[in-house]
Amino acid sequence: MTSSVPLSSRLYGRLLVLYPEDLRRDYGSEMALAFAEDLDAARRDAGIRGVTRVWRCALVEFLRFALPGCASSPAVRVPAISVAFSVFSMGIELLLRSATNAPMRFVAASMLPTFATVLTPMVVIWACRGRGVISLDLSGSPGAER
Amino acid sequence: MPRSDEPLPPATFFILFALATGDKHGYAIMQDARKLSDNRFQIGPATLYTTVQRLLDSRWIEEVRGPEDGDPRRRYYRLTKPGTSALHQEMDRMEALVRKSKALRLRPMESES
Repeated sequence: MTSSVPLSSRLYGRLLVLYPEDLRRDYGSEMALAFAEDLDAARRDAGIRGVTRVWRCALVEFLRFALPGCASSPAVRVPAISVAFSVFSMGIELLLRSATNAPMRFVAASMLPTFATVLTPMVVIWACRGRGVISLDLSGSPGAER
Repeated sequence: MPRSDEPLPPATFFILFALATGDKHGYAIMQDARKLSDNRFQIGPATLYTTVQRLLDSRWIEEVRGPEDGDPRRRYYRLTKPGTSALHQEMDRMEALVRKSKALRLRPMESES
């Protein structure tokens, strides 16, 4: 098993948090196991193309099963977007890391700091909202009453 | 579950098809579905287990004890009689469609090809 497979499995495990609760409760561990085995087999059989295929399928499923629930609940919408965004960026980074040419490696090296810069404010805003430090609810603002 | 006169969704069909050859756990079903479809259809974990739950609810499949030396984290599933009947019905429907398409000469007869 190469290093990208445990990393991908960990990311998938994080994504599972956003799936419907009953599915996660009844089948979460088996879903994670099936994903890890599928990814490992795909990596052995087809290399990075196999990994891409498995991730593409997982992301399509995420959009189909997890995102509708996330979108309907404001409490999880912001972290859901953050997690999805970070998983997407990590996926791109994994793909670029496997590239052999120098320009792509340069992009990979600069990718993570760029995404971290974008991601950090989102996480901070979410954390502050959870603690009641700031409010993003505009319905009570003076502008909303006019 | 779809009514008996409706075509089965692809995930349902391939899960039943995979289980027609014996009891299997989730990942084995995923692998078999890909092989049976010549790599044209891939079931991901969420689709697999959502469909498995629906099939369990409608008693088309049942959970069975796995082999003694198997991974204890895995659950094994078996096709039931109603599930087998639904699979056969779907295969008959597909066969009838192919026969009709041949009769209408939408695709060549085997003897002509």
